[in-house]
Amino acid sequence: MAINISLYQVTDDEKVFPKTIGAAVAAHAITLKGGCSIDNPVVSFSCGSAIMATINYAYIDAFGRYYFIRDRKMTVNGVCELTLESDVLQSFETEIKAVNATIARNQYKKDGYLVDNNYKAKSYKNILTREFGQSMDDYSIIIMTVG
Amino acid sequence: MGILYTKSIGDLWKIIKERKTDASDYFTLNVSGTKPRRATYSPIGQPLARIVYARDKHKLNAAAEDTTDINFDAGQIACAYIDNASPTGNDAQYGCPNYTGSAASLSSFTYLHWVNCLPLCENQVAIIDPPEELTWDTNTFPSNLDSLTVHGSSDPDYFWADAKYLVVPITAGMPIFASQADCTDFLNKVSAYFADPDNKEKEKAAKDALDSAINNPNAKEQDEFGKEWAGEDGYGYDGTAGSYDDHSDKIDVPTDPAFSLSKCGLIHVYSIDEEDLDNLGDELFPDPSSASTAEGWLEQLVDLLFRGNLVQYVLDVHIVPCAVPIGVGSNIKIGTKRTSVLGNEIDHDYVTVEAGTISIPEYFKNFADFCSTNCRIFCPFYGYVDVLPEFWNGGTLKLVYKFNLIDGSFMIYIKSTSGHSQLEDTVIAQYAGMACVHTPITGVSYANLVSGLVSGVGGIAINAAAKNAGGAITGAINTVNNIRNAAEMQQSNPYGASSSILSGRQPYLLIEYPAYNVSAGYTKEEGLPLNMYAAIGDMKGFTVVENPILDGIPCTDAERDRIRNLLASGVIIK
Repeated sequence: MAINISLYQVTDDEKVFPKTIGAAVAAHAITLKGGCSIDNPVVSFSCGSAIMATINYAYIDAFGRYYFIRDRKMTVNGVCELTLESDVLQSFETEIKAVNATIARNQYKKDGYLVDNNYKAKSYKNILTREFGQSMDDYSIIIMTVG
Repeated sequence: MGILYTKSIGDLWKIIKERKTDASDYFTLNVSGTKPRRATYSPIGQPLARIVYARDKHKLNAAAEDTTDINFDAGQIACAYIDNASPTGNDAQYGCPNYTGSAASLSSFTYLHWVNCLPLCENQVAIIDPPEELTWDTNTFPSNLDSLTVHGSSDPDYFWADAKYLVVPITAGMPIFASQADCTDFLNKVSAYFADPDNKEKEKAAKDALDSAINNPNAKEQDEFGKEWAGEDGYGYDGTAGSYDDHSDKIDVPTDPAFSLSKCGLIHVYSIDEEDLDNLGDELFPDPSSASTAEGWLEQLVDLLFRGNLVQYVLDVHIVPCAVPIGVGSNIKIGTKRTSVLGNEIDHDYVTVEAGTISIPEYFKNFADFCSTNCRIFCPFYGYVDVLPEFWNGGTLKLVYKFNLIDGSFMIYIKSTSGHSQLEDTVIAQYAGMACVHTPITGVSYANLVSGLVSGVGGIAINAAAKNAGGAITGAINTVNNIRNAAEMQQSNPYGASSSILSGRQPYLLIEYPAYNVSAGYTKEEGLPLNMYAAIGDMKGFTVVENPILDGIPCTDAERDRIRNLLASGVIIK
């Protein structure tokens, strides 16, 4: 069965999704090495060394998944071997986005009155005084008598 | 000219103070839905203003004048039209009317255009925070441009030049303040402050106007769970909902006791002055040899022979730290003698003194105002008392004293109107003390004074220890700060009745705020607390989901675990 891999160079951080994936740098038919998993396949194909230097991302159509290229090896015969790990965020973007869940933290939305334990504070405190509207400056002499 | 970045209202205010220039120096945001270089403007010079926020990546493309987008990570910010309608008529010429609403719901765009022009618009204020990353279309903009000018004019062919900028941060979803009335209020107050820069009240008024002009961008005003918990399947122990009744009954300062010793007739209570006291001495201790007339000599002799010990009918002379209401003037009666000294006879034992009111706006407008902020009130004649932030932060505190003129005792009532609960002008604390100086009249009374029998027990001042200062923000990660063990500071000791009258007379708050250190990348690297139930796809930017139920994802178990771990550690959603 022919399995094709598309190779990309992606600059987004791994935790970003959806990633900006441009045009494929290359596409190859691949051979699966041994009985590899769909999550973390190891694939090999013939390719040039120039491509190996640029690619860091892949898509295998047969598995319907995107992958990070975790390791790249090249043999003297010009065979490239890639160790892949599935990018679950990209691969299941639609399904993940459809999940309803309690959002604990967010960059833009917030509840400012929830305690944020991540805040860093300086070793000193900012101390200030605020006067009430008036001072109590009066006095009276009281004399008490009987009679 | 240049871009100023601030991350807090406090910083913005510092910039305003440093500038201290005419209000017309403030720039205006040039906003338009379809045409650039529009601004709200009144030909009669009435100040109009708009305060808009923006952040994150802005991309300015002057070539596409009418459709330039400012792309934020979370979407677009636009300050366009009320109800997002397109401008027509005067609006098209004079720009957009002010907009009030949520940034996230705006559908048009905000265009920041760079052109030099003559300043035609007056007194317009716009506050914008260009992001750290700002890209320019250098084909149109000068290549050496390193700053952003934002300006506008009612005339499409003219623009401001040399505008100055003040910036505040913004996040998508933040309400945008843009009402003319509030902006006018801010401009008027800051102009008044600049005209009188040493006037602290005007400074405060201007700063408060700025602060109140910028809404608090909370995700939700109320607890999101409120509706569900109050329903039939509520979380009460029996499956039903709790009452959720959070109203407060108003507790006021009590009325004075009906009985007054000064009314009883046997006891007379007068307020006098020093001269009166001196004159009384002559009557208490008659001396016929000092008389200048025969009648005077006879009267003094009678007093000496038959009223020689009038002083025994003086129960007490003491000084209390309050004014006494003017009552009936009458000659002071001591024993059987009606003296010639006129005193202010008191017929009510108690005097109420309003010691002042203070309102403190929230410093941070977030959790730090409550869980990391400490405060003490200095109460004259009593000392320092701790007060919870909930009672004063964003609310009002009032001090009321009731003095007992008979023995110099007093009660302090602290009243609160809370900014976050239903408390309104309600007594939240009461303290009793003594504040009077007993004037020894006889050797006996003086001995008693010295021995403490007369002085009584003063107000017990709180040993107000400094809390573990230095950043201990309820479990903050900043472990270095948590190590600090601040020495306890005793701010006052128990006051005696006599010494308490020497205490400070000005009540005040002593507030300890944490000094935060928040990096510029904090929200995109760590996000902010939210606790809102929503579709993950509705979020943008850095997002943490701690316990998602990942149904409906056709992945392997290992992948599901990886998704869960990634969401818990934080992902960035474009």
